[in-house]
Amino acid sequence: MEEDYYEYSHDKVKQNIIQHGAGLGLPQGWLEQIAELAASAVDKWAASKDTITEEDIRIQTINQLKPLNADIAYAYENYDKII
Amino acid sequence: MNIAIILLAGVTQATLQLSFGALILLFHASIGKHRRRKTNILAKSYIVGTAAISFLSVGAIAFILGVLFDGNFDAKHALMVLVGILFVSSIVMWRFYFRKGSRTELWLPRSFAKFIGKRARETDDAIEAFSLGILSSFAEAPISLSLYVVAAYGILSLSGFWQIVGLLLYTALTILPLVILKTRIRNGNNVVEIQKWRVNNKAFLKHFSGWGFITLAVTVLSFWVF
Repeated sequence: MEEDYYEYSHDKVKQNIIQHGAGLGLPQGWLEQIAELAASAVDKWAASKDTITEEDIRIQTINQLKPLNADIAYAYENYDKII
Repeated sequence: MNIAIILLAGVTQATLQLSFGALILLFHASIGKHRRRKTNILAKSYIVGTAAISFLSVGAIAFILGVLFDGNFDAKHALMVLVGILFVSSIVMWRFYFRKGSRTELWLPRSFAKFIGKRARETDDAIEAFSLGILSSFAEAPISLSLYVVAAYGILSLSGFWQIVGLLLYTALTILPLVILKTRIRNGNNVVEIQKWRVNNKAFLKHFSGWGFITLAVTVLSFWVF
């Protein structure tokens, strides 16, 4: 089975959070700050791991977002479960 | 009574969740990307696309039935089959329509649901939004087709002017939840609040829909078959 490997990216995590949060009508500056804080926390967690999956990153991002903004965490967690 | 049956079919159609969910996805993707006015245009186009499919499908089925039965709609056997499909649909609504868990995932194959989600994210102009409305309505066709047929039968039994009224009323009812969603978003609700409401009231939505199909089946059986 073919598998894709790629380098972990802080910017990709941050962009993903901004993409999901943007739909909630939050002020852009606030949203970017939350995304930066959550992405930095995921960076710290990822730094101690040799290999991580996209699902690991997703779960960690949700865990980091929950205390920062529950609505963004909900949107991030549930976007693909709406239909 | 026929107008009432058309309205009941319209209400039952309005309880189906795919078009509603796809509009939430469209709002979620668009609010962050576009200005409010553009988001409004996309939502309107989406709703018009959904309305067009309801209007044209019921109109086309009514036309086909009119040609097939040549104005004589004493088709008891065909109606019995239709009642059977409505009963089966009610079971589908209760047992299979929503996937299990605290989410509102539907019976759709995951790859197709992801495709609709991707299309919602990439929708940037009115034509694409209109097409997304058409796509989501077509995707629901396996369940909504029986409702279209009931509405078409009802419309055919009305006189000229009332046929148009019946068709318009049916179409208006099918898009009513979408219009309410659009109004709620415009009045400041965000998509997360609305999605949380859907998750919390999933059982209600399921039962409302299921009972809608059952009631329609019993009504058709009582007034058109017997």
